[in-house]
Amino acid sequence: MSTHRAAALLARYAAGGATLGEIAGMHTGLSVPGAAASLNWLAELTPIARVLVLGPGAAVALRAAGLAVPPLLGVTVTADISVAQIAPGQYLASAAAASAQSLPAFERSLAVLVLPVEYAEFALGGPAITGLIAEICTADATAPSASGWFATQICGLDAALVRDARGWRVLCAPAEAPWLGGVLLDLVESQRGGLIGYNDYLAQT
Amino acid sequence: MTARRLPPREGEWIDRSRELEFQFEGQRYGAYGGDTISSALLAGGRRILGRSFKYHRPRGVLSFANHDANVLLETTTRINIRGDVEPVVAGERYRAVNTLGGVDRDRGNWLEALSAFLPAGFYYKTFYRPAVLFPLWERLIRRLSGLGRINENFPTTRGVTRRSTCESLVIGGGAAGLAAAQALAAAGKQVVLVDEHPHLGGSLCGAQMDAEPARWCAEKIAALAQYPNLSVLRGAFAAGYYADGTVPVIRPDGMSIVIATTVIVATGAIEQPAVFHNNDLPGVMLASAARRLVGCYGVAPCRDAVVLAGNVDAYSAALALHGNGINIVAIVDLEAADARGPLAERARAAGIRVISDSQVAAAHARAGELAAVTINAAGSAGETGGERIACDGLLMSVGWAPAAQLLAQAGGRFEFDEVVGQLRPALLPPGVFAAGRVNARHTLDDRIADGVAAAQEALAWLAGTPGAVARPPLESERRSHPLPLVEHAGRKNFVDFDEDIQIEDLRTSIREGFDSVELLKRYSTNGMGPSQGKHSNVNAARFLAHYHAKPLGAVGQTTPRPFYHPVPMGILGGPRWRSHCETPLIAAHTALEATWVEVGAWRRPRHYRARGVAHAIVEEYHAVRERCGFIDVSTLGKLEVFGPDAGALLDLVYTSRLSRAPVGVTRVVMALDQRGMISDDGIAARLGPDHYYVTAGTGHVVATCREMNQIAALCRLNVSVVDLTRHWAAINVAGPLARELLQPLTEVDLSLAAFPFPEVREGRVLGGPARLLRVGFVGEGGYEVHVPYSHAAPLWAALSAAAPRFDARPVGVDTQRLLRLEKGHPIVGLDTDGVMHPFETPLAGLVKMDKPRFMGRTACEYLQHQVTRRLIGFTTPHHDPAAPIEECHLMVDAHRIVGRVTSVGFSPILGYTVGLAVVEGEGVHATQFDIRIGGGQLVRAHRAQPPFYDPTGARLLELPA
Repeated sequence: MSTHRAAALLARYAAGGATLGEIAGMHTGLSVPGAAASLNWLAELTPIARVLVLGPGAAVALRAAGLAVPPLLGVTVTADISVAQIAPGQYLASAAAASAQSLPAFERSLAVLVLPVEYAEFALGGPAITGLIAEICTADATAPSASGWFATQICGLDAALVRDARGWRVLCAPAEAPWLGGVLLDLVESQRGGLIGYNDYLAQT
Repeated sequence: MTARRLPPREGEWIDRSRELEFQFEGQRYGAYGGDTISSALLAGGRRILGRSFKYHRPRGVLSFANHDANVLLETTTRINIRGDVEPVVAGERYRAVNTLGGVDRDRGNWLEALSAFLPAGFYYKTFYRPAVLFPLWERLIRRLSGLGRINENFPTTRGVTRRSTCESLVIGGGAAGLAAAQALAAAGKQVVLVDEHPHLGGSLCGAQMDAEPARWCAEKIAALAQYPNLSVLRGAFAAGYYADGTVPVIRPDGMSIVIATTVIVATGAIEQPAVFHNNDLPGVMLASAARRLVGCYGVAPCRDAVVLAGNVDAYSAALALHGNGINIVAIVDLEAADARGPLAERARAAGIRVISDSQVAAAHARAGELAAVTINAAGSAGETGGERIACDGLLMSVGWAPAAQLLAQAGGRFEFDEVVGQLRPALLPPGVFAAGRVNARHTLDDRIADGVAAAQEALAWLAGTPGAVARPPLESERRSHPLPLVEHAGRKNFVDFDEDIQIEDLRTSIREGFDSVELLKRYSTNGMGPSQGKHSNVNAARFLAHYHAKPLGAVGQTTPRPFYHPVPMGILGGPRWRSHCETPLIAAHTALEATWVEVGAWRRPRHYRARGVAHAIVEEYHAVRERCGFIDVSTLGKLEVFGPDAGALLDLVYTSRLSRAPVGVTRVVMALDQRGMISDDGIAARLGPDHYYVTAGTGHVVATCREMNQIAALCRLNVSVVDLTRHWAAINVAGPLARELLQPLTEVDLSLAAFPFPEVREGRVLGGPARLLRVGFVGEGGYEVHVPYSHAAPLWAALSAAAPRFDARPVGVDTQRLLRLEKGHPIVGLDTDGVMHPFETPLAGLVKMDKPRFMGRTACEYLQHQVTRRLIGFTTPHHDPAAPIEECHLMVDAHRIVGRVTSVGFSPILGYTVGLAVVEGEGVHATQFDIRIGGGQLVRAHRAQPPFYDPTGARLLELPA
């Protein structure tokens, strides 16, 4: 039985011969043999610490913490901390992938709720990924407006898409992550791709 | 190169460098890459390609445009393949559908001999007498009817569905569509251009008289390539028009759902057949089909052709084919040829015989194929005064019907233009535009100009300044003959080729009273075949109008519905993925050999490894009642409600007054719908002045969250609602030793004095954030621990590690339900149905009618006086695992059904069976009932007031004994 916090794809990492380890207190795959050669790839970034900052004072709290406040469905990055306004007045602050744990201390008040929250996150990259995303997403994820926090359905599940320099990131609730992560990995593997570890992802340029 | 294959030509659609082989009806044929099955068969000299549905008459190519179902084929893995448009697959073995013994020797053709007894609607009048013979007819009809046989061993196919949005969707890649698409793309709009053919160009791709149309087409297609904002979907068709500009585009490998801000329909027109004796013989086809065969596939449809002309298009077709080596024996013009202008002169100058004011009265067969036609004066009956002309091809060009199905589905209104002789759009909904032949513009210049004008209208609409743009004036040339139908004593003059509907069938239907266009369709089945009336609706309407001596525009038209072409079920069928949710403790449950139950998208353990189901439940039960048990309740709905108006929102959503609850306290809550019916229940914990944490039913949380957000928006409340159901997890630790088991794992003081029922605390468990709620669902003191998702597994592991010291154990859903049943707690959706209101249940006390507003309050004012059913408790000594009482067993009082069991279980601690039931009528006041269990046995039960166990709640409140 599990005595530790585990990433959704831990079993797939282990089966693939990955080096396992802890990121921010969660066991996950750190590096996978042959990751650098993967044309299309998927990495699990679930261990990244996140909080939801919400309430009438949320924007003030973000600014006080030195973070830029994004518009609705927008994403800002300040000192590697990303903030997405996922709903009116609701901000999802995520630590940088490199540090995984370092979130600023937010000033608490009756007007602000800082709520620990978990999201499963899968990063995907490679030449086939955009086409794959188009296949599994209910909306036109390739449209110019598909930037920022793109709430949609992925493989029939409510999920969010975020684009970054490395490719795409899919975020979903952790209860759906084992299933969704498995489906995404199967699809990536069908495109001559594979799983890469957390550290492999950081090494991507 | 076969005898029918013509030399290579510019712009042809076939790749002569790729030679393929395939089989049809057991014979080998050759093809080139890009050949359709029909074009390859025609090139190979075969012209009988199928058999008709009803009479099994030999059939060949008619439209060669997917507008008819003459050539339907099957293989060992697919059925109903449209041979006219389906590319040849190398090595494939095709057979015609709907034959008994093959297409050449179809034994089903005996049905034609019975045609006099099989008129339209015959099945309404026959077969039911004598009734004893009906099973025989049924077996025979089932064997003979249908197109294609489903093989359950066919490989499973599933199409890929993609979605895209655009500013303008242009449907149709002919002259008008190309012009419109370019104009829109040049203006910087996001454009999607769809065409059902593998190449753009529409009718410009067929054989042409002159080179200009093809040159224009090639230049336009090349020009489109420079626009990155233009996407082209070739070989895909728009299947229908749905609300808000949603158009599903069917590709060979799946579907693209396109949501467009504007839609330009440039789908062209469908050439219509003439109706005369034997007009369905192989060799009789539409002139546009011949042009496509020659121009796109390099196939000569025949050697010696007669062209039946009802418009100028017949002459351009004749001249184009003549220029490609087809011998045009004669042009038979239904009207005066001189009225056709220069084209008639060109035809005569080319040595083509032109016969004015004449009709084709009959076609004649040899070996099932066209060998000659009889022509006579237009309007003659039968073959009177006819001249027989030998030919192996009759090419019909008598008129057009606009391919306006999508416009009609979009809500367009049409009017019949007597000059052009065609329906055209009169009123289209906002954002929808028509261009080209579908808009009754037929010359090349007019189609181009119409496309540009439609694009300009779309641009204006996108800019927020909608307005009409001048369209090319309607021409004075009539493009459709008003009545290309010839009566014949021998009949076999087919109006609908799919259903073998003849003129006499239409006449019979009208005489029997089915004399409107809709009734005529349904009684005769005209237009109800796979082609959906593309080649038959207009002629049927013409006949109806002629019969009633009315203009065509007065008889109306039938309603076209999706899909435009048949769509394989594999493209439409079912979601590609069936997702599920997992609690973070799946691995732990699996290790304990849990038996599962599906609860919505989740799986929950019913019970764990044991000697048998009953033993497992009893062992878990005693653990909770006597020591401690812990259960995974992560599937519970969890809602975070925060903001200055949080209390106000919850007061509106639930029946009780939560804004007055003290901080740190939990309350049982119940939600109603607008009808006052119970929709959900849960626990609301007040964590702060403006902060609540609310649990909801697993199956109801999505609806409850949506309801909260809707009410918040409607009432402009300053509040955030976050659904944490799948982001957090929960474990319920219950029993007399729950505190002892849990305290070492948390810094929160769990003592009774510090943390009594029913309160809530926030703190840390195993170093991670947590919320602990004192809840009483199972009737024992306990704690429901809510943690972020990934923190649940370590917590469960810690509880499991400590469990042996207290003889505690994990508990499944079955035991949990029994425990709560002993306390009489109803489960919404199990003990209540969608039409049960709170005053019929023990939950009535949760309804605070002194609260001025809450969802369902208005209904409650009435319902509180309308109690016709009751959710009651009952007990019975009956306990027989071989004959158990189960949910939904009926409650019976004096042989009348008075209710049904909703929950039932044997209580180990009480020693008898307890349950809940819904009763009505006399049962509302009855004190005892019979329960009808399996096999019809009746067992006696007595009404009892829950809770059955610990009625004072002393154990839950941990009161001194």
